[in-house]
Amino acid sequence: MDILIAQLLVNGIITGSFFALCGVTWGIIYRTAKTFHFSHHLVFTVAGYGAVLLVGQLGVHYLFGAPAAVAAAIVFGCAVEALLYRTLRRRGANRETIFLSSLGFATAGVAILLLIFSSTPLTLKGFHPGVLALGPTNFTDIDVATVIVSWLAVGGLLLFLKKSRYGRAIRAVGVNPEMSANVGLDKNKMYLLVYAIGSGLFGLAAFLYSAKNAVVPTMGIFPFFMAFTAVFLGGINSIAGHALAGFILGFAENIAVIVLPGEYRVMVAYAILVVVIIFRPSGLIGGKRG
Amino acid sequence: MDYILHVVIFILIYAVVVQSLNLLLGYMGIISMCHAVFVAVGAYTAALISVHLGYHFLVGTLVGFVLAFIVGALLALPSLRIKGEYVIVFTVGFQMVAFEYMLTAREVTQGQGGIAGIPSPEILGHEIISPLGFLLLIAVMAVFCFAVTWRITRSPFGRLLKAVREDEEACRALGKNPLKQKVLVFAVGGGLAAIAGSFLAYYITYISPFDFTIDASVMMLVMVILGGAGNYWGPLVGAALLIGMPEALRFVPGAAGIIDALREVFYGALLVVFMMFRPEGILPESLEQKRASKIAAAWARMEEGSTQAAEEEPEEQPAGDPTLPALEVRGLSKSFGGLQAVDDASLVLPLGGTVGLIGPNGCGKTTIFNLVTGFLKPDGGSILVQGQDITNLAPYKMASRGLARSWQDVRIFPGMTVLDNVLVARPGQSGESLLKLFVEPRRVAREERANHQKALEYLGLVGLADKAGQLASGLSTAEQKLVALARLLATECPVLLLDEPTAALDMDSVKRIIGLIERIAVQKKKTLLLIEHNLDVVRGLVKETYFMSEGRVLAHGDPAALMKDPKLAEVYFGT
Repeated sequence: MDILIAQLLVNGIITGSFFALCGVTWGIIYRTAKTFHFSHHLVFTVAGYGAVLLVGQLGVHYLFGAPAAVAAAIVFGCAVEALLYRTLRRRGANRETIFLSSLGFATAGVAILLLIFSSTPLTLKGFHPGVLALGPTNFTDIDVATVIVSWLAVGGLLLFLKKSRYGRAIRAVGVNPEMSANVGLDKNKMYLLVYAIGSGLFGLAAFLYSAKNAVVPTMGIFPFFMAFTAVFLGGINSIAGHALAGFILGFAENIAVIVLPGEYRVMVAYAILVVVIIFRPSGLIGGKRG
Repeated sequence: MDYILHVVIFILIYAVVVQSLNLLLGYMGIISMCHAVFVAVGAYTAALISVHLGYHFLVGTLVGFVLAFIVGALLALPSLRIKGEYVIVFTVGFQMVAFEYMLTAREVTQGQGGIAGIPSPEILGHEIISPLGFLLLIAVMAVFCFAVTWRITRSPFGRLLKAVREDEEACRALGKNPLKQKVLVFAVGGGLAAIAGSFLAYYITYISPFDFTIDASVMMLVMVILGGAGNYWGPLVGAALLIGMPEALRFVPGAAGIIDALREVFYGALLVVFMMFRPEGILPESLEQKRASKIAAAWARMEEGSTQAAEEEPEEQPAGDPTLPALEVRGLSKSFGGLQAVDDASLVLPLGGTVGLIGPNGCGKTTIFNLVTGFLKPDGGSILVQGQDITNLAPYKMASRGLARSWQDVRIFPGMTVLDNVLVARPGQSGESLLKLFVEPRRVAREERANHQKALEYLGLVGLADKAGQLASGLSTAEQKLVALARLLATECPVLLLDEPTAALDMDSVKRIIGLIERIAVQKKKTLLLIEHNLDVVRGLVKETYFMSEGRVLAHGDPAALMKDPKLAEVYFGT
């Protein structure tokens, strides 16, 4: 039993780190552009396909999958913003309308991928996970990479937002777009930057994910749902809150298995979201609504 | 042939589901991502009752309805507390929890294998198996459900819902507390979806969790939006389009195997295109309003003769005890942060009197209104109506105590007809109760006739009877102010608080409104408290006014005399 608990703690840290990364990728977009970017999950999937197809077709080393995933995600995410959302904003669409169009785009996108690739799972060619052990617990080298890369990315993003000129500009546009326009910040450019960052990091997450899991057209949905759950759980204004909430989600999901049957794992994460929205709509960790 | 019947059956089932979702989305503006759960509640309840207990199919349907009704009501409470995108997140979460439950609670739902062998429905010993028989049965069910939503949406209940969607706070100021109605819409919406769900289970005879995924919920949402949210026939069009068109693809060679994926491409792409070019859907809600306008105009013509006669009879006495003031404010205080907006203000409004409240911008006049009508909580002091303490009462309770207010920025319901604007304000409408709507239809109809008559009478009084059928948003500012006045009168409250009734109007309209306010005071024997900026208006209308500055009542008396006081004039006009 103790061995099991130790293993679950380790699993919790791995999943939690991954969700922390997912959370900030959607959080920075939602907080800045105020768009309920549902197509984010399609970005993840496109990145996953980008990685396995490049590695599989060209026969290059599997590590080249990472830049391929990031690049595919950035191009795709920015295209959605520039071609779809920007057009809608120009036509005076409200937030609901933009959300619904994003929902429609994502639905059609998954179905198109299904038509092209069918639901046959693809995997990252040439990658074989090495099993490591720490005390009684087992994990793989990709798990270690996931934890390290996730927190490096989250930390880097936080540092970028706090210290760099562009990071401060992003925060300014998020807080007050009108005022930012007056001091010469181009809203559309800043949004594009945010979509590039959010999508790129989500693409990185997709690469880590596809090293461990099968690449299928619906692969992005669960990480995306966990991402926005983390954002609303963490309170929408705090990027650090999103990371922390994502970690709590992944951790709780694994720990719950100690008391609940294993198949309830996924339900726990959603149940946390539902309960938090009912009792604490401003999020677990804080930040104002808006 | 059977295949066509099959498609029509599906369209009808989904039309009911989508119609029930339209109650939420179209009439309340709530984006729900979990409607498939209600369908699932109906389908699973029906399946379990029929398979395990062998009861008649109507028992399964009824129990499913009741369960989904309860689930809907429970879901309403958190959904109404949160706004906008939080509702999306909450309903996605609920949908996912419910789906995971269907997958994992094998002892109840039999897990991902689903429930097979659901018996076909039986009527008077005849088992219904043929597609034609099913079509008839489902058509009856659909007509029943459509009749229910017809009754709900075209009633005082539906009218109030629309008013809430337009401006909930204004509704509260008219004495309405729409919480019950909002919860009931969730409950009824869930219940009707469950009825459709139970028929789905009986028709297919097999259900599994994969029939009730978030994708299914999204598809229902898309059907409402493409058809036209808020339009009664929109859901039928949406369901027919999204079920019928992909089915037609079956006859294209090679397409049969990928029909589900094609359907998703189809509705996803349609959603994007519609959001881009026609977000209001194929049948926009404005078509409904045209219909409402015609009905209102017909009413106005019908009532034209009778209202003119009724108009001229003045009331005998102001309602209430003449020895007690209509409204008394004692030592009222309110601060916002460091700013003392109202500081120990007291005023008395004698029964049947017209009293002014003047002072420079930002002196706290409107704050007093908000305090008196319960929209703000005072830090100290008390408010009495006819000697009874009403301090801290909720805004919607003020109207029943005889107190109603208007707003400086008018706040009529722009998307409704002029007549409906006034009708909403009528007190004690039993048609606002869902139960009475169905149990006592005659009483509701009788009241509606009386309320229409009264509403048109008030519209006649303000001179807008001929515009009863127009959308309020299409009126001029002056006309909108008149609608707001008629709406205020329709509450039948004896004490009316008017917040700058002549602001932002041209001279002719100001004169018209002044004349009207005089008539209201004299003929209807109303007690009026008037916030005014325009000194000429105040001088003409009131003999007594309170003068406020920086939250305090500085003086009180005849407005002409007050204005002669150089100190007050200086405060008022500034230097």
